[in-house]
Amino acid sequence: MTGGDGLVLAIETSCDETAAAVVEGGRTILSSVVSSQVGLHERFGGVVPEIAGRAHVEQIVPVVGRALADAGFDPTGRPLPATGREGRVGAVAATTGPGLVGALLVGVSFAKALALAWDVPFVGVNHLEGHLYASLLEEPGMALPVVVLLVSGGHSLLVVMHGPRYYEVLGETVDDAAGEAFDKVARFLDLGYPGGPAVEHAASGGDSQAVPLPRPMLAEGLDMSFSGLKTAVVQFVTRHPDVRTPDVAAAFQEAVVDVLVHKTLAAARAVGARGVCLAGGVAANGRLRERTVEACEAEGLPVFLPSRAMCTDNAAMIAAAGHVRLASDGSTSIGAGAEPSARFPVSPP
Amino acid sequence: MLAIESATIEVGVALAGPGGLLAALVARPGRRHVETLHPAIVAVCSAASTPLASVGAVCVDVGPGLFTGIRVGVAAAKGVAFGLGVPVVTCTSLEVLAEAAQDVALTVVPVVDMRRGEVAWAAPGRDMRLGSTADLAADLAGLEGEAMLVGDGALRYGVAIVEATVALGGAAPRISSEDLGAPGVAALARLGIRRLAAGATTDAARAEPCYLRPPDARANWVSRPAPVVDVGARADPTAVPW
Repeated sequence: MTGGDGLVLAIETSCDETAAAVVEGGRTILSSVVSSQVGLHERFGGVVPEIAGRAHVEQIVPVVGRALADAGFDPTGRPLPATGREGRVGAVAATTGPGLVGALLVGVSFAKALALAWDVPFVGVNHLEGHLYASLLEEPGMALPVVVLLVSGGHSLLVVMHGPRYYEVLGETVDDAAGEAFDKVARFLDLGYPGGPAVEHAASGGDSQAVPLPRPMLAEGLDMSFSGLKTAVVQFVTRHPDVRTPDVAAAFQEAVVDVLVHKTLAAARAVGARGVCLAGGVAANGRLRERTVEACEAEGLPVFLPSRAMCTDNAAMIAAAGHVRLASDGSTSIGAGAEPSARFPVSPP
Repeated sequence: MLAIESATIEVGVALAGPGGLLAALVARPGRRHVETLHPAIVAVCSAASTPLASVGAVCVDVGPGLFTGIRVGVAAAKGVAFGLGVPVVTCTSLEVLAEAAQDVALTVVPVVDMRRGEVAWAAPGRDMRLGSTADLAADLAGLEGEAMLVGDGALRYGVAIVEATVALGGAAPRISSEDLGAPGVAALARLGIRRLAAGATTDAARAEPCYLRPPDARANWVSRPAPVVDVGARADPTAVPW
């Protein structure tokens, strides 16, 4: 479908990173470029949609140009003479959702236009599905089925992956995403933005036992809830204004990690998973990584932790997912739009 | 040259050469710009029997107007121009509106509805401005001769603008008919061809939207889908072909 080498250029603009990558055969990353807007949103303590949309328009050409050049291609998708390559880029993939609509539209519009200019297929990719392929890119030999804990600023999901394009959602947050709780607590504690790294940093000097916090929905199936935990932090600090901030950060982080690890292991047992892996920006949290490894080792369950660069939003994972999608479903209509509220794509076998 | 117009509620695509239009298509997609624009590019190339790869420049309306529509149009223009290695010609929506009204004998003032009670306009020989209808009326009251207002801002706020201008001692401006209400893709193509001939081009990386208003700086938590209530029965994993 994607020409001799299965070369896919992918574009990701669902939130505050403008990213592009070229991946060969769904497996080999030839280039992966990520331009973060974190500095633009920092002073607002969260992503500002209109600022994100504008920044994507400014960044899209430099980022895509760089990804092509790094992979050895010119802007027309043909190999640069010095590379000695023959095949040209055979498809353009883009994240269609979920995400911020004004941000998604930039990537989708640019990618569809580029596919038309190159006369190659366009393929729309679900951002959440893309995160599953981040692990597969780095660990192609992973035994399936594998349970994936996908935790980011916008999403908290437990998914079992039986095979390419064959997934089931086992559990989901019923309110805030885990990363969203980190951002909100960081903002409340005045720790900075983005909240994940800020809380983790503060927690490193704290005692997680010093502040009693609940473990919401711990015994209730595989769904999760983080909104009440955030409220518990606010209430505790309001009642105990002298509490040390590092202790609050450590206790909050430990509570979130307790819930995530407990649910992930429960999910793995429930489906007889042959492995566990993490995905999404929160998967870069050191404490979550450490505790997941400990818990999986205790049960003799193989665990894979993607590199931090593969946890956060990137386009290599979108290219890998796009490659699989193109092979299974063919190209996406050139009339496709953005789907800001797209669900995780659960497809029947 | 490929011309892309999506700065307002209309989406227009045209192919044009030095001799004029080869094919054009205009749609009113509501807010579904990204769903409409790319199929329109395919349809226009097909109607003109011209492959997109033979296009030598891309012209785009960069606004001011609907932020979403502008971004979709500029991103698409960047995609085509970058992928083909051809230059971009940019025109503002106010310039396109004025071009479309070139046969009008009065002093043409294009006015774009910017929502929130504001309009963008350009009096002849002056820079673009963003302001209230009262600000516009103050500008109009100072104009020599009779003015004709064109654009969706003129259609929406016409009565208020006329009353305010007269109250300031100016001559009542005329309001155009609806056919001059939106920047047309034919006028965009005409203007673009002239600019291309004059060498007034930029490249895909440098082509930028014209918003005229700073971004709404309101943080928003990333939207997420509603929670799953029932995941349903688990299918048999062994049934999957690898």
